[in-house]
Amino acid sequence: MKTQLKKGVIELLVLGLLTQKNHYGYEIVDTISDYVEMSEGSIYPLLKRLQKDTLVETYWEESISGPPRKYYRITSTGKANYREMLLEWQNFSSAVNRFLEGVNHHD
Amino acid sequence: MTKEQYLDLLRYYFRHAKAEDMQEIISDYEEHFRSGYEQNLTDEAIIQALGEPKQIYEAYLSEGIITEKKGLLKGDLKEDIKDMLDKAQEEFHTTMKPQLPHYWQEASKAVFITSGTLSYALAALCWFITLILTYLLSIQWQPLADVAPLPAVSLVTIGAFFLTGVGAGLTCLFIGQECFKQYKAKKVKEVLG
Repeated sequence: MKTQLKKGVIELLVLGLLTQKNHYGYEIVDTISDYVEMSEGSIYPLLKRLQKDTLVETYWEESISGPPRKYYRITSTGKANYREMLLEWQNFSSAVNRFLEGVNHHD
Repeated sequence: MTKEQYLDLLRYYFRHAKAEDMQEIISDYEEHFRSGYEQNLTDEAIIQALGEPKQIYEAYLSEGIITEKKGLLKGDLKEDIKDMLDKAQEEFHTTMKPQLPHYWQEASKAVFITSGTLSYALAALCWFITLILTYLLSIQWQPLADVAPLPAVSLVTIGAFFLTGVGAGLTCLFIGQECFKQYKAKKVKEVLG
């Protein structure tokens, strides 16, 4: 799949995941890579950019097993962005699906 | 590749980034490795899933988190040279670095065998010259009719000269022997692993 499209989709998934619960980096990577095939290493630059754009913020939390972990929390701007992106995605994907169904009927 | 080699490569690619940016990026990936270990994953498996360090660097570039420092070289040439350096660096970290002790062993073996051989040769040369000079001194050699002959010296002087020469030769011989001993010891160690 084209990387640009994939990047946008992964951004949507990351924001969606964070609307439910705060997560640390590895959890985000692990959950999303279960659904989408990707280089796990590319999630961190994405998270960093979301942080820079103030869609998410980070904080440190002690872990039982070792040094503290960096957690990600979605901001109100992030939530607003997510709703907008989600709507865009739903419109886009249903249009694509409708189109492809039409193509397949002609086969 | 191990975690340390992987992080080294990241540090290499981010060498022009701001120190605090690099620090933060490396610590994110360190945390990722720690979490991976908790899932009983090996370095290999974690690295496989993470992807190439160069790709990660490029992802940071394309997200606009770090900007590349502008150099003197521009355009294609700059890219070519950069690619070449990147490749060399990557090769050094993944193939050369783990083998370095081996190269070091080879080098020291070469030094010992060379100096051992040279010492033996020097010993032979010492004795050869001593014998010839002793003989020439004893017959008060005169190379040409109009050249002064070697001075007449006492038997004691000739004897002392001869012994000095033999001693010098022996010293060289012992040095040579020591060198070969070291060389053999290294070889044996290598064979035994």
